[in-house]
Amino acid sequence: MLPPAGHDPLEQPLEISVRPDGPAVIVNLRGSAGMEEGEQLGPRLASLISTDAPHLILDLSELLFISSLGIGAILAAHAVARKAGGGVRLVHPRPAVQRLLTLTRIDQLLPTDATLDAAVRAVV
Amino acid sequence: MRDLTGMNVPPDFGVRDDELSEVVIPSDLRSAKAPEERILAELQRCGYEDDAIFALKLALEEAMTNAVKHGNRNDAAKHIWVRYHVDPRRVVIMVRDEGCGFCPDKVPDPTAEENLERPNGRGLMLMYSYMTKVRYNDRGNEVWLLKERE
Repeated sequence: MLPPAGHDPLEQPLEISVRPDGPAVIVNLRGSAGMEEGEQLGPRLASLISTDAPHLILDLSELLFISSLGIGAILAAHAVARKAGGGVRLVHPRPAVQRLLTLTRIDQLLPTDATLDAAVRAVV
Repeated sequence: MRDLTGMNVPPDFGVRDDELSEVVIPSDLRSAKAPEERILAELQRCGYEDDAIFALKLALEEAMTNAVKHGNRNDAAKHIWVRYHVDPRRVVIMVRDEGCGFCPDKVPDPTAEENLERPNGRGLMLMYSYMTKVRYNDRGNEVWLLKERE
């Protein structure tokens, strides 16, 4: 269905779904992580990390937009995860988000997997 | 509210000062959404492509975030001035805060190896990457963004 006229296609509420999987927590980020959502994302992601499940796998395949605050939230979560013995992995970002990750060189800091299965295999 | 008269639109941005609309908002991230929605609705009306909408939303959010957090230091009693112009060929946006300003040249490169893991400091670099031109006033509390349609 086409969005109504004047509708901002990037202005979708951010929906976060969480699924534990062994030593990892899989987080699906769906919608738009703009400045307001980005600021709230950091504490939310950090709260999911524990020594039992120190790996955070972020499924970005349905993430339409992210600003520097959202990037900062992911990096803050990565720091927490590393202290717990794990780290953050990214899965299948859309081209616009991938371009941002490349420009900021985040894609050299955090491993990116083409599929969720590959990300899970990497941490098991 | 301190009325801080800013600079006129840079002459090489291709629009006249009297073509700009102005909005003044309280300095918080929620209020910052209102001018963003207006500007993005104008982009939609002019038929801008998805990549350009992503770029402008990103640059505007980075400018707003800098104004709220760094310029006005999260003081919700302060204000932000937004001026903008959208036509089918170009978009011009100005964001000004009440802060003391800063020197853009002294912001560390966030892509340098030693800064990669820092959770902040990427806003300026993203504005420069996604916009055709970015210009600051001498004081450093007012940024002008130009995006020309490709």
